Amino acid sequence: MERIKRGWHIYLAISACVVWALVANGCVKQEFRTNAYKTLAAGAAIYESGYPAFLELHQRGLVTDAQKAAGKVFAIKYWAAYHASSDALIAYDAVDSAENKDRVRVTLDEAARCLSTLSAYIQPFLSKGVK
Amino acid sequence: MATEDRIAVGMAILELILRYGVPLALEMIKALETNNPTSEDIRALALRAPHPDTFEGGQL
Repeated sequence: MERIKRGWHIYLAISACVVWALVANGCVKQEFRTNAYKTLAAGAAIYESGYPAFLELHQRGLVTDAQKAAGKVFAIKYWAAYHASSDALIAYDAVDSAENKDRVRVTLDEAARCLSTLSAYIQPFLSKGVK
Repeated sequence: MATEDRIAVGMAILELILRYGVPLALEMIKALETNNPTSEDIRALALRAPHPDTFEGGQL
C-alpha cells in the first residue's frame, strides 16, 4: 500500500495511457469504419446515377453499341469490386480482426480504382453527349 | 452537327443532369454526413449498386 502511495503518479500515468489507448483504438476503429462506409455509399450513389444516365445516352443514339459495351465492362468490374468491399466491411463490422481490416483496405482500394476508371470513361459522354 | 442537333443534345444532357444529378447530390450529402454508421447502415450497403444488367431490365 505504501509503495502504491509513493508511486501514485506512475500508476496514474499508466492508467491514463491504458485509457488513452482504449479510447484511441475505439476512435481509430470508428474512423476507419466510417470512412469505409462513406467511400462505399458515395461510390454507390455515383454508380447508380452515372451508369443509367450513360445507358440513356445510348438509347438516344448518343453512345454507340461498342462504346456502351466498353462501359458495361467497366461497370461490371466496379459492381464486383463494390460487393467484395461491402462484404468485407460487413465482416469487419461483425468481427474486428486485422485480417478483416486488411481485406476491407484491399477491396476498397480496388473498388475506388474501378469507380475511377468507370467515371473517367462515362464522364465525357455525360458532359458533352457526343459520339 | 447542326445547331438544332446541338440544342437537342444540350437539352438531353440537361434533362439527364436534372434526373440523375439531383438525386446523386442528395445521396452524396446523406452518405458524407453519416458519421457513425450503424451495423444496419453497413449491412444495407450490400443492397446498393445493382448489377449493370438490372438497369437494362435484364435478369441477374
